[in-house]
Amino acid sequence: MPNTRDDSAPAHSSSTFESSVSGELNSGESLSDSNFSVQSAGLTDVGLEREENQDCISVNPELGVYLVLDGMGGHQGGATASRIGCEVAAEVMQHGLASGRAHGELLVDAAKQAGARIHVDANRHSELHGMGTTFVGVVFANPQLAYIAHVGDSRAYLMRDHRLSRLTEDHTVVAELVALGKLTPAQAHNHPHSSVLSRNLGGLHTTNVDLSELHLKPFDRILLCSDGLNGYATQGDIEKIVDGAILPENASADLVELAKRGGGGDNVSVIIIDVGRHNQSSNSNSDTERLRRDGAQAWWKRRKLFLRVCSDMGLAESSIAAGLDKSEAISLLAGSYCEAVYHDLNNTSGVHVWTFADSLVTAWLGKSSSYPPLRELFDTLRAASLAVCEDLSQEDQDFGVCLEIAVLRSLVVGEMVIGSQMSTRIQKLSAEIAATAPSTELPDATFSGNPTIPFGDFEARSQPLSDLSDDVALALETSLSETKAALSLDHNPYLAIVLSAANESALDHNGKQEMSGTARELYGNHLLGESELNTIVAALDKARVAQLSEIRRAPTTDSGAQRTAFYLLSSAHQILFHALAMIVIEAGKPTSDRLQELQQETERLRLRVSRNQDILAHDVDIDTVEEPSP
Amino acid sequence: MSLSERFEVLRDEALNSAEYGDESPGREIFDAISRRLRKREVVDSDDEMDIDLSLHDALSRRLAWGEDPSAVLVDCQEVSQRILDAARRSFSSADEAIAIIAIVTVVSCAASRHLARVTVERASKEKAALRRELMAQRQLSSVLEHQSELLK
Repeated sequence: MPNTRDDSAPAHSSSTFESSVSGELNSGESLSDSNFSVQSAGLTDVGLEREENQDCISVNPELGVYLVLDGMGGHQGGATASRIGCEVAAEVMQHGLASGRAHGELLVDAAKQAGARIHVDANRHSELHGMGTTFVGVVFANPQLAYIAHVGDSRAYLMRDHRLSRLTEDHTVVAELVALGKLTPAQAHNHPHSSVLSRNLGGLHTTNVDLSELHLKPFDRILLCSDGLNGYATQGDIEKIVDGAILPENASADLVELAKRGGGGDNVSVIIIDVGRHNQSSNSNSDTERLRRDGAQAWWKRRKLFLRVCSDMGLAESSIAAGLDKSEAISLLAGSYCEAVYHDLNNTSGVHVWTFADSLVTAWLGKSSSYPPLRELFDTLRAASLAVCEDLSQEDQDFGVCLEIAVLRSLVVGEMVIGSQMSTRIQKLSAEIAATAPSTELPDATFSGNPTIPFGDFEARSQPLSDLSDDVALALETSLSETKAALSLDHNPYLAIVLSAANESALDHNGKQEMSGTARELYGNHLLGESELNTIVAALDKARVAQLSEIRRAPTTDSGAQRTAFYLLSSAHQILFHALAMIVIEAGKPTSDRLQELQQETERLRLRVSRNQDILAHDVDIDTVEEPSP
Repeated sequence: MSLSERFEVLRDEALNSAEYGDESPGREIFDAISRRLRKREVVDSDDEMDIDLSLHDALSRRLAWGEDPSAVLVDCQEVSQRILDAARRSFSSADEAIAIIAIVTVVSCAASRHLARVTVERASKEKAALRRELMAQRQLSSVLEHQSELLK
């Protein structure tokens, strides 16, 4: 969530390296070779309950060294321990790598030297006695090989093929008792001392450091985190965010937000390291990429202007805001919308505006309220949005036009929500009227859609599909797994989405309308006229051809099941393609509408110029000439 | 009867011929499927990605007449779904049904793809036009300012 007390957009500003600062984002990229490149971002936050951030992170993309340390020990001891540990380890890594030492061995040595220094300082200063820190660090020997060292319960995860797996085992007393067979995993789960560490840096002069080697593939994503994340968020939720975010900056900010929403009882630190992902996205200088990179910032910087225009247009007096004071009304309606647009621009999605509009429209229409106030509200939001775009156009006209198109698309999403809710409402009313009105004979429909000449056993096969037989479900599942194995999903993230969505839709043959969600996920918030459409279309074609071929090729004894599976899957792919095309068409509408408006405005100006020319040429009295109408 | 001839029998079921006659919405889909079936009988191969220019032409013509692309898309989708349902039900041989379903899918996806691409092309032209309009407005505004000073 953007910090509404500050005009600067959250967590996307800094690329310089500073560690152990609350809310500080570190990002960078280095370590590139012809096949791979590494991009990273890190964030540490104090959380919601602690007063001090005792975590410390180090992101050094130049050296390929990433560290997360979680300090412990009261009265500033924890913060001191993690800071010392971070500084010492980073320094040892820098010198060691410069002198050509082996990466894995060096990382272990860095952790040990950090632990020794913390131990010495703790003994030297009585107020720091007992301080210590966890440690998890990654060093890249090259973009295909990394070493991971850890002590304590800070963790490293690997996201590969859309699955998040843990790379480190916590060094807790309970975990070690489980490893020795003295406790069962179930007993460990509920153990009262489950968080007591068996190892840390600083507790003893020397510490055993676990080291593992990780061979990387393109599109791998590594997550390093303190227990402030995994203690307040489930692995499933973490997996969704790490898998879904396009850039590491987004992933790290969203993970910190996730931990805070889960209670935020501890300091939370995360580092995301991408291997080979950004070659296909962030290096692109397409309008879409630029919009995502700079558009969200530009929009958020003009938030005050947006709110002011909404306020000037009387948004606070809308009956939707009845009972709220002016600032509350502006914040609730205009502020929330502004925030939703920011997130959609930032994530190239449409879900935030959709959610905003859906909540608002459902709540408003749910009270049997009338449509006009909603119309007025969205007209106000539109006018304020255009004012923001106009302001940006003064600086950069091309970019202003891009932002305008994207923002108008957001408004279309809002309009779609209104349309959908109104349609539901009308259907309900029609049903109520039909239930109360006396029955009347309807004239025969001109087009019945009834079967004409059936071939073969019509009765047997004209039944609507009810529950799928096991054979059909098996054929669908087999085709999915075979297709996934046959296609190289790593190189095209759209393929996996298309295959899974089509299969799910086929299995749940009554839920095909959900395909518009998948299509929206595929298309995101891309601007029209770009190569992304071709990429998505190619993925759709490739997935369809491969999946349908698998079904046809599969040996079967039940041709009926094969035919049904083929029918369901074909139907699902068609609907997905159709949904994508519909989204593209929707995306084009705001541009057409805006162009019409601008053309009318230009015509009006042209008429005024022409009128003035007449006046100047013939020295006519200005008051006698009529104002031209467009 | 050949497969393409038997498929033709479904025309009245799949298209709203009763109301629109030969000009039924979505007929371009039915015709494209028919063409593919006939070609398949002659050539005995079916390239999935074969481009059907007649289909593109028919769709583009509807757009050129001012029809809304989303309306054209909905027609295509509805007709494809009706053909799909009719094919599943009407052909006793699984191979034949699968062949028809496969061709319907290829044609339906081709129509969606073409409409999406046409929209994208049009949008890029409109985007350029949008910029031109903005520039024109700036120029006209400055001329108006100049004229206002002269008129004072």
